[in-house]
Amino acid sequence: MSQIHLGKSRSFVGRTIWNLSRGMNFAALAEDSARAGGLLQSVDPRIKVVGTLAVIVAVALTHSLVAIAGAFLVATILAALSRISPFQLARWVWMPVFLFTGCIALPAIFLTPGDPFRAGWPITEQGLRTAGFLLMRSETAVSLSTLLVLTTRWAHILKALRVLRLPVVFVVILGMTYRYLFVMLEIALDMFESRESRTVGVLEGPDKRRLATATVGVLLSKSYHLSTDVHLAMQSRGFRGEVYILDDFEFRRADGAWLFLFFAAATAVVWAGR
Amino acid sequence: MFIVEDVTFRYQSVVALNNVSLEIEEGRRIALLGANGSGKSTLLRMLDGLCFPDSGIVSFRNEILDESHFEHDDFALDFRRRVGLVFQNPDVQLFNPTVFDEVAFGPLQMRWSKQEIRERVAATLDTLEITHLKDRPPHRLSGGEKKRVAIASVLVLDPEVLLLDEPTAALDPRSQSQIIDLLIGWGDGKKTVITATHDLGLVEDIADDCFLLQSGKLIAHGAPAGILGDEALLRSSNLIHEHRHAHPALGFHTHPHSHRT
Repeated sequence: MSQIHLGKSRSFVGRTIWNLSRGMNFAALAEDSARAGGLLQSVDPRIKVVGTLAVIVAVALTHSLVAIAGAFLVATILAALSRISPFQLARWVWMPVFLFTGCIALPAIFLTPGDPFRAGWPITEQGLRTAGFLLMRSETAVSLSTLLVLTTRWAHILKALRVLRLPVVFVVILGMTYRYLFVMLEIALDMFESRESRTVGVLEGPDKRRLATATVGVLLSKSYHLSTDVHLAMQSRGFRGEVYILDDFEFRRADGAWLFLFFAAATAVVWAGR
Repeated sequence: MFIVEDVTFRYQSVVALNNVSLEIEEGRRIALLGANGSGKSTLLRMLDGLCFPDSGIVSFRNEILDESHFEHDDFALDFRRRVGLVFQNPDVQLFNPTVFDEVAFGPLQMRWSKQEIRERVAATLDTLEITHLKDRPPHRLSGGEKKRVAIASVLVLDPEVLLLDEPTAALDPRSQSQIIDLLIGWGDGKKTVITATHDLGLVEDIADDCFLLQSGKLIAHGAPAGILGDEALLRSSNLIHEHRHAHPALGFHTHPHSHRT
């Protein structure tokens, strides 16, 4: 089982692997969340993929901050009804997006030409509005995407992407990449931990770089051998270069209603900002 | 069923198989024995048509296994359905997003109908008692579960020949015992099973015949009792070694020792 725990390290390689392992733990949590019984978990993955995409496009197109805020509020309510706590969303999505997008949006508050927000303030109304749009669009779009990931099994998301006419081979490669990220990460973690256990004292910069380079080289070599064996395993079970997948979705009446709701929401968001 | 004649195979300058000849009859249970690097895995891959000899011939039911034959879909798909290989490292074999998709991969390549695939996959998962894992992604399986899924992904095609590369390697004793029971019972004991292993404790349970390899050469062939009873042969092929340990009453003593993976 891949519940990866690793103490936070100060070295570059250690930090990188620690961050990757956090990402993998998030993936494990997402799988558990997608299996939990909740409102969005019961919706056909194809409807969720298409519907989420439609609302994200609407949020990107609309000129109404209120409409974007409305979409954000609806996403938060849907999350709560799907057993995803707002605190989790705040920790995983809202704060990181706020900090990242905030850094990008901050200069706009001062640099965008326009009327001063208050007399004597260096902030303009237009600047605030621009920054607000950027921030709200990012928060809403990432919240919706996260909601999709947390309420849908990865395997179903992959198959649902076929609705968007993505080629089967693309979907399969995406799935295999995701799958073997876990395998390679476990190898990297083992290598890192075994090296940590044999390292006494603090390594100098050049030594750290040499070790990092060696680790990358070994991982590359292992990934090459692994990919060769995976290809042989595929061949052994009849793979001839053509990819086939078993699409087992079932469209129900309730899914039709969800599709309507998603598109109605997207239309409303665009219409409000016309 | 399988005939291997004077086969030599090299990985660049390293000779993996050196002038190996052997014959495997239908319905027999075979153990390929040998220490690490003896050529067992290479021979299994050759029997599965995944690599081809530099010299010599490998044939299956009088059809020579070479690259030109595998270029034809009809031959390749028919052979892949009849002969299945379970790799030593299950991670190599589990490349699909879920256990169900993994087991369905082979049947999908065979272009079976979706209904038939669903039924066969469900039956195989049931036989291996892993139905409860069907929606799990492979990275959330234990070592024993991965191995069972890997075996299921091959057995779903109901092959005539099952090739197994170290099937109990790195498994806990309970998982080892489950896998062995499964292999003994598979196909009512009438199908051909070829197992590469250096685990001598397995051999009498899973094999009627043994082939012993050393440094790419076939050095012995015979019934398990004969091979396992020849201590000098096992010692020369690095399958047993002198083990020294302490007894509370007797002090230190040594005896021949084999490893259960």
